[in-house]
This record gives sequence, structure tokens and C-alpha cells, in this order.
Amino acid sequence: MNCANSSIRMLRVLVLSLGSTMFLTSAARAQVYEVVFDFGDSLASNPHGPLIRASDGHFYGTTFTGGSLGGDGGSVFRLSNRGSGQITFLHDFFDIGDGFQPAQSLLESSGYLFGSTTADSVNTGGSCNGFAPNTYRMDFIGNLSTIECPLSTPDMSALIEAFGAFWGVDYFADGQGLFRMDSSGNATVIKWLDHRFGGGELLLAS
Amino acid sequence: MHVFQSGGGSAFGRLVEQGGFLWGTTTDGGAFGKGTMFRMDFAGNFATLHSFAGGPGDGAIPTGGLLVANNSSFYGTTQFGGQYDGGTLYQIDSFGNVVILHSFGDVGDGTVPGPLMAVNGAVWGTTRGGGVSGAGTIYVLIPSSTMTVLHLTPTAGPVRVRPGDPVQIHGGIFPVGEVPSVLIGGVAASNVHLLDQENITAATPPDLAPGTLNEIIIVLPDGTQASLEKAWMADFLDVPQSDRRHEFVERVFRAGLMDGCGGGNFCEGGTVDRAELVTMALKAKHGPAWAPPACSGLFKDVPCPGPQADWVEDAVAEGVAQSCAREKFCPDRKLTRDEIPGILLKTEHGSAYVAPSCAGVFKDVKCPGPQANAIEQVYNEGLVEACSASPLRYCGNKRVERGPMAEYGSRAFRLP
Repeated sequence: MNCANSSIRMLRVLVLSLGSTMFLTSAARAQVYEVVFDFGDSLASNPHGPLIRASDGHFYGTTFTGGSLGGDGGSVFRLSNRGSGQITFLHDFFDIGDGFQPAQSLLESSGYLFGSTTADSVNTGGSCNGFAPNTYRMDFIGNLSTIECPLSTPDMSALIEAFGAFWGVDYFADGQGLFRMDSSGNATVIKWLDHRFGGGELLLAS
Repeated sequence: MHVFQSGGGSAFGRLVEQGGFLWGTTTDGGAFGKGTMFRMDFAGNFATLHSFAGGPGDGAIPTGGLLVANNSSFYGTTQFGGQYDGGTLYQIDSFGNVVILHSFGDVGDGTVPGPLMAVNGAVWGTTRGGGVSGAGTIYVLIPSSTMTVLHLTPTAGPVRVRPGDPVQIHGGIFPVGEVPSVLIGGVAASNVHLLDQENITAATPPDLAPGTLNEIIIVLPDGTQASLEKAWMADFLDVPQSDRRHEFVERVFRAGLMDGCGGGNFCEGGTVDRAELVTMALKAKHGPAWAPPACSGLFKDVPCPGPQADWVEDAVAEGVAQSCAREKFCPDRKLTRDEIPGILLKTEHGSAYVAPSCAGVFKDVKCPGPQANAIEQVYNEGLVEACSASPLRYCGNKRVERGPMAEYGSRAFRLP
């Protein structure tokens, strides 16, 4: 088990409002700002995506590079809700069929965390083509499997869940499309798109 | 609905819906070429509300999208700009008025912040760079208008102690000068002291039920409240703080993997059966709320429908455990130390995992033998200990008790 308890570095700031009419002119604001974990205390580095709070109450996220379990292609970590910056690294991307450099948000669904990597150059697992990002599924212990490998670019959107399926935008052999995907990774393009999609995330409007 | 023109901005990051509009940011374009915040209705009517200027007084290049702060404002981040040009965390109202809540890039601080997440009023995020070695950080910001609880120290303690054990409640923004009330498990704590705007101390109430997870609620005189669920664990009567397995019992209990045995006790010496272990394993893999698929009646000794059948059949389907005989699972059979390595390893590493060949380290485990590989692997990983050191023995026929099971499960399932 790879846990790193970092000393909490606390930076407290008193931010004064700015005097331009362009900005809010409220009174001085006091707030608390804390660095909860410094990845310099681990071998993982450069988190890109947001944190998510999973149903177990803990926070989960990814780093784009490095790894604390022996890999150097990024990692998936858990930040305990018990405080003190307790991190557990659950999976390192080794670029051996599991991709590398995860960047988008994780999504929790049906007892798994789903996410995507921006590249996968080796693919000895044989499931993805060269340099194709993949979508993966990981349990809460860190067992990860690739479930989808479109002919893609690093601009694949974060997944959202709606109407009993996952939805996203990615590049396929015939162009860029809005796809629907089941939890096993079976993806169908619903709509081909004319405009370049630069990552981001779909929004299910009310 | 709207096409961003060349030079007019590249929409990036998460859109949010609020008040009948879509709100978002662009990474470039605007009056200064450093990005914008925009609003659009569902008919496609589009308005740029703020052009990011960069410099010490404004952010530049917003990439993380927006997060709803309240009915009339949003939080967001920019990669650059602010006092140290390490990016900003800003609040922007529905008219485009911005206030910088934090400028990243001071000594020891992160730089290049990403998308945000809100939990109980606190704003959490990561930075790609900065920190001590440039590897990035995780941070939390509690806005001045918010009161929230982040965590307690310690997270567990004894009951029936008068006065109760002191706990420190960390969070903010606690109004200095006020006298808050603190409820733990719905019971008023004593000796409440507001130390500063981030910390309160209190003595835990002595009358909580042992073996329970208790919510903490802070109440200000004006009725404002902040709470944190399952914040404080009232210890089991038979697992005091001095028990060497207290930490492991707390982990499996908090994770919902093991309950008490009744009467406020945990019963570390109690036995564990096969059905209990596979239920633990599945909850560890999929979270405490996991609901396995409905059973189909695979095993003659596990009635379907029945309380064990869904779990047992799911465990077999996922490769965590195997049948004990043809069409039998032996769900009530008490676990021995021989049986747990295989289940622990398949849960920890996945169903396809194959333990390396044994080396014959145990005097009482035949190598090669049917369980030797898994037994030596759990020993080598530090998951399960030997039963004697000299000579090294494993004692495979010995029953597994609940206390050791809490320890093995905590390690194998990486419980926080």
C-alpha cells in the first residue's frame, strides 16, 4: 500500500477587493486556503482533471505524469476524507495496454470509476491502436481495464452519464462524433460533428 | 447555437446551467485576447460578460470551466494572471464582475489550477504545477461566506468517559467571538472552545452508543449550521484505543465492510465465514453501497433468493472466489488461513492474477502445493503474517478471527 501522509502546508490569505468598477467592490474578505497535499511528497505529478467525491465519501483524481507504484504514465489516487492529506495511489499507468497520461474527470457509476487517457503508445494488450487514447474502468481498489479505444486524439471529452449510458465526444475513423457508450465500452456514434471539439465536457441541460 | 469566431475565443471547459442560461469561458479572445466569460440562452443569444485582462488584478486563460457558487455567481480558475502570475481562483457574478479569491504561485503554493469541485461550501481543486518541487498540489479554499467542517482529530475515541475526550474540529470560517454549539451524534459536546476561524475544540459526549459513526454539527447562535457525516467513531467497547488493531477495525467499519457483533462490541475473536469474506471483498471493490446482481441459483447450498446468494454468486462471477465443490459454495464454512490468500489476492490484483511460484519459505506449507503460491505472496506483500517465526510457519488450518481479518482486509483492500 502506498500511502503518503503529507504535512499540511497552510497558506492563509487575506484578499482585498480590487478598486476598479470592473470588479466586485465588497469589503475585505477573509478566507481559508490550504495546500492539502503536495505531489512533491510522492512520485506522481501534475494533476490535470478535477477531483470527484465518490459514494464512499473519499475524493478521487488523476495525475498526468509520474506514479508512485512504479509507473510513470500518470496515476489514479484517492484522498481520504479523514483529513491530514492522506493519499493512496490506486493505479499507475505503465503504458502497457493501459494507456498513459489521464487528463479528464473521473466518473463514478455502478461500482466503478470510469476515465480516459490521452494516449497509449505501446498497447501490448492489443486492444487499442497505436497512440490511441482509451477509456478505462477501475474498481475502488485500483484494478483497471481498458474498455474502449476509438481512433482518437487527446481531445476526447470527459464522460457524462445520462439516460442509462455514457456520453462523450471523440474522434473515430470517420471523423469526430458524439457517442453513446455502455459500461462495457461498446460505443456508437450518434451524431457526426462539423466543429472541432476541444476536450471539455458535455452538459445535460434541464 | 453559437459558433466562436476565429480570434473571438475558443470555448473550453465545463459549461454550467443557471437561471435559464448556459455560462462558460473561453481560453482566448475577448478585449485582451486572454479569454472571456460568456452567457448564452437556449435560443442562442450570446453575450460576453467579462474579458480577462491578466496582470496582478485579473486572471488570464481560463480553462477549468465554471462552478456554480450560488444563485448569482460562479467560481472559476485561470491558468495565468494574478499576483504571482501562477493563475487565479476567482468568483464572478452574473454581470461579469470578478473578484480574485486566491492568486496562485506564492512560495510553496501550486500554479496552473484546473477545474473545481464544491463540497459543503468548500472549493477543492488541483494545480498542475507548483508546490515544493513543481509536481502540483491539491488545495481547498473555504470562502469567507461559508462555514464548513473538513475533518476531526482524532477521528475516533472512547465513550462512557467523563468528561469526553477532546477533539479538534478543523474547517472554517468559524466566526471568532461567537460561542457555537457542537453536537456529536445528536448529543451536545462540552468544553467547546473556538480557537480561531479554522479550529474548534470540544469534549465528546460520553453517552454515545459504542460502535457507531456519528455526525458532527456546529450551530451558531443565529442558527447557521455546518456538519460532517460519519465524522467521529465511538469506539467499540472491546476495541479500545490501546488495541493494536484499533486502526484496522476503524478502517473496515468506516468502509462498511464489517459491523459490530452486538452490544457495542466488535468481537475480534469471532470467526469469519466464506460468505462474509466475499461480501467484504465486493464492497471493497465497488463501494459500500454496492448492490450485486440478482442471483440465479448457482449453488445448492445457497438459497436463491436469500441473503447470501446475490453476493456469493457475484463473487464467483467476478472471479473473487470459487465454489468449494460441485454446485456448492459452503457459505457458512469458517475461514481458515489457507483459504484467505486466494480471495485477498484476486480482490486486490484482479481475477486474472496468478501468484508467482513459491520458494518454500514456510516449514508447514508444501511447495509446490495447491495454496503455496498464494500463501507466500500474501506473506511477501505483508498482507498476512506468519504464525511463528522460528521456524517460519503459516498454520494454514488455523481459523481466521475477525480482528486479524480486519487487519488483512485493510491492507489488501487499501482502505484509508
